[in-house]
Amino acid sequence: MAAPVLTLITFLPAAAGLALSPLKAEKGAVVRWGALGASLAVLVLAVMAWTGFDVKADPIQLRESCTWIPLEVPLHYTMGIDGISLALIVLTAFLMPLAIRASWHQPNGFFIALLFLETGMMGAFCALDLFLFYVFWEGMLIPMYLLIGIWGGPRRIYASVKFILYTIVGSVLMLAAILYCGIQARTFDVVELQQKLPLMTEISPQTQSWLFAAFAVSFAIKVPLFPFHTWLPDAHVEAPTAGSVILAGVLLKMGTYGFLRFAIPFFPQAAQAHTPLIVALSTIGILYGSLMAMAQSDIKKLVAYSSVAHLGFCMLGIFSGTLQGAQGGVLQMVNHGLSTGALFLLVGVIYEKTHRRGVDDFGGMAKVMPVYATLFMIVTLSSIGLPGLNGFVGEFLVLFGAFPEHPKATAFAAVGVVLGAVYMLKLYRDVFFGPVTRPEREGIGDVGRAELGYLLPIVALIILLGILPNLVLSKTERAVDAVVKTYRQGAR
Amino acid sequence: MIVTASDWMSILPALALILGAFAAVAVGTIVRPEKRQGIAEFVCYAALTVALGASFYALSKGDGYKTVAIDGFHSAVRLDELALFLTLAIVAATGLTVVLSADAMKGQEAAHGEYYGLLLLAAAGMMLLVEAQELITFFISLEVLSLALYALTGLLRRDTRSNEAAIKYFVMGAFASGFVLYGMALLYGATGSLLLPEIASRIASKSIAGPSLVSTGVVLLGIGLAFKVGAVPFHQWVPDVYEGAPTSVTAFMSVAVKAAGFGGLLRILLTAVQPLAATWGTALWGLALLTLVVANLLAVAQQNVKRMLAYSSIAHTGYILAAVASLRGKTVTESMAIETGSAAVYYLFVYTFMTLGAFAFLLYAGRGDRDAEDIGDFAGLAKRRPWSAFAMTIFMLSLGGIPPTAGFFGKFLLFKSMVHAGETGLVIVGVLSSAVSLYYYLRVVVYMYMKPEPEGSETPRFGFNAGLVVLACAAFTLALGLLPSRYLNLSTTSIAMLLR
Repeated sequence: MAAPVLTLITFLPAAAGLALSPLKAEKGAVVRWGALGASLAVLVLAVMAWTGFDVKADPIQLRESCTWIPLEVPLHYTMGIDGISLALIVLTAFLMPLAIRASWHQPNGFFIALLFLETGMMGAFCALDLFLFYVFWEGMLIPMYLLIGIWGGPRRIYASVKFILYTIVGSVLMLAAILYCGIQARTFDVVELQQKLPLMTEISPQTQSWLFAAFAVSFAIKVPLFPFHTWLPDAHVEAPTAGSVILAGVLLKMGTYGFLRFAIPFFPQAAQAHTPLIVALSTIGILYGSLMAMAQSDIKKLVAYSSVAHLGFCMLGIFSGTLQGAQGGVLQMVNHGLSTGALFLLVGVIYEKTHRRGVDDFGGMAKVMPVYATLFMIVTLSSIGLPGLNGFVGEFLVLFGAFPEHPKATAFAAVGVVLGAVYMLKLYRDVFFGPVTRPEREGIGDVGRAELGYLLPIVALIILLGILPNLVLSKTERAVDAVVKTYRQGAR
Repeated sequence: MIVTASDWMSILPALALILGAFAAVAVGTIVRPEKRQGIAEFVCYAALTVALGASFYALSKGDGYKTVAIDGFHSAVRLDELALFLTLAIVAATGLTVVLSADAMKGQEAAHGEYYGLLLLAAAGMMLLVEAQELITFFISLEVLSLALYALTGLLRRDTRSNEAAIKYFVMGAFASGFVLYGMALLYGATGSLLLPEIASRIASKSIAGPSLVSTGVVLLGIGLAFKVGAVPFHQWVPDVYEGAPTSVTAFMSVAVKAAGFGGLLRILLTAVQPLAATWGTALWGLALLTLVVANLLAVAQQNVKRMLAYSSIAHTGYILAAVASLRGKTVTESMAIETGSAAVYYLFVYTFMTLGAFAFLLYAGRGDRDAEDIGDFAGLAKRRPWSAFAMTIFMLSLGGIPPTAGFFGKFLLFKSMVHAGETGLVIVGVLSSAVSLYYYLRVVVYMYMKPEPEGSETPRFGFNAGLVVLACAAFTLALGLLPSRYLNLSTTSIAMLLR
């Protein structure tokens, strides 16, 4: 039997966190390097899983399974990945060391929370048993809650409680739906459920609709789909840099991943029936997020609202019902993780230097920090979707795939693309161009070697994926195609 | 009457505690004051060890597919797996309370033998309650545990809150006992039997004096027991009594009484009046709904953590009641009833550790002669004691039903059995109220981790024994969430036996 790669990827961080937790504050260096080492080891494993993933073999690979709790409907410890989970696992594994490196000044507990968070996220992406998935899905909220609540900004308590209550209300409804599905289908195995549930005549269309709604609301809160997004700006603004990076980079993708893995394959008819609503909300999210982003004076809040808009694109693509659109949606998930993750890392750099992050607090920074300005420009252009950088391909595929199905929504979404360029370039102009408005910022210095250590890899990947989007698309194609096919069958 | 070996065996766990109780009281009068507490503790440990040994011995006879059932005293008591499983919970709760008391009662006038004697007596009453198969025995056990608890509540006789709590508890408890007794009288009058299986067979064969008498009797009995386990609207005594009683007693009371009360309730409902499930199920359904909503909303408003835990205790009664209520359905098969019952019993077991741990933390983090009760007392504790603060976080998350803790798995089982029985509406109320509950549980976490300790505040006691209990309970809370199989099997067979 091969090594249990997914178990290692999932539990290595938690094991490291547990091992590092007894260390005292004086041993901060050990904890920092230990956390970085563990997350890099996970990255190595994830890359190995990536290269070993055979797009022509079984759709689900690296499967591990054993009985965990023998009930009459047994609960299994089943792990396995398809192309979609693979992409998200690699994204998570890639962002985590960067987030850790960017939090070098934080106390020990911060790193331990990050490691446990990684376990939760990896587990949720790998789990192929609904119960197991739910354990990870909810379990990861706790470290995130502590990250925001303990190490966040001035309104951290409000933001963290809002974050956790919002998500929990969604998840408990999903729990009820999970129980219902598990009992009706006599299994909690995700693959079996994907096969059984769409064909079950015992579940009336109306019940299906409710079940879909329970899953969908839970995921929509995570995405966040308008109007469930109100927790996001607060959480992002108050979270420490690493928290924002992981929140935007990975946690939001849990929502879209949930739609792809559970909500659509389980209830294709209901998904079809709700498509107009979801597409409308996604489009509103794109426009509303963009307009709100234009009005922000806090850079972090601006990026947070831009996330609402970007995730709207992902949702639009996923619910387009075409392979191009859904592929674009998945690629856009990865792209958003990279470009928004990079933006939060960049904002973190100047925040550490100045403890300010209002747009008005800066001006003419291109003169003061030329290297930083260059990196920021690349990421800005990636976020806007400039051809040659990663954002372009995803956005293009989404619009291309969605247009035949939802022409009006796509037209509005295309307006969102323009608005995206407006607010990002406006931000760039105000912060970097013109004369230096605050003389006291003259001496803050450009990015140092430490910052470059975590900024360069992500910028490199942004450029790489812009040139070779097929790196992701080829791996995800088959899994996405399966989802799209199931979705289409629901139309009958 | 000849008392046989199996008679003795059937009450051995309780008997050990009763003898221990006498010994502990004797210690209180004979031994010199400064040594009393230590020796009384030792007596308790000895008695509990015997009880535990007897339970495990009885359990070991039922290995494999054979199940345990030791009848005693002409079927007045029956030591079966339900009784044994809950006895384990009661022994664990009592043992942990004794450990806790070493800190809680240190230097108290009340630390004399009678405290330990009453504790053991109450536990003995509980053990008899969960194995009682006959109404008179049931009532006597209920009174033994209640009377001991009234006295324990008022133990701090110079503390007005403790006195007030004792009076309230006594008046309300006596009232409830009256209901129970009246209900029993009606049941006896209608069926002509005091034995639970006998009552069941007479109801099933319709050889009863009047169907309305039976249902009135069941309702009265139910109301009485609802008082004891603290279900809304019979819950008003709970917050005051929990707040006023010494914290170690509150800890003991909140978990052990619940285990025993529900054990007794389940036995009556599932054996004696099983055919009337549709009636009592609907009544319990209403109680459960009311309890879930009211208790969780009231808990949100509490600034005193001890009171908050009291409301939380009521809320958890609601979850268990909701599961039991789901047996009312017409489509409920025996296997579903087993699922439901075992989920309830498992939850009681889980609840024991998470709640006891939380109360132990109140003692652990106390300052001077006050326990940590006000939410402000928790500020900054994570800085001072990261491990035990983390343990408290585990208790709060477990009570709130967040994985991977035992509380989550327990709730998962409860809700699953309810969905299975077709009570989806009640499940939705249940999950939403548990989301609400997270708000007040997390407030403790917020204070411990996210608020700085006020300047110049006194160093908390951080008693060694209380800390020990906190860590032990945290370990159990995690273990029962991650690897529940062993105890889950036991809880399943315990209910399966009852229904056979």
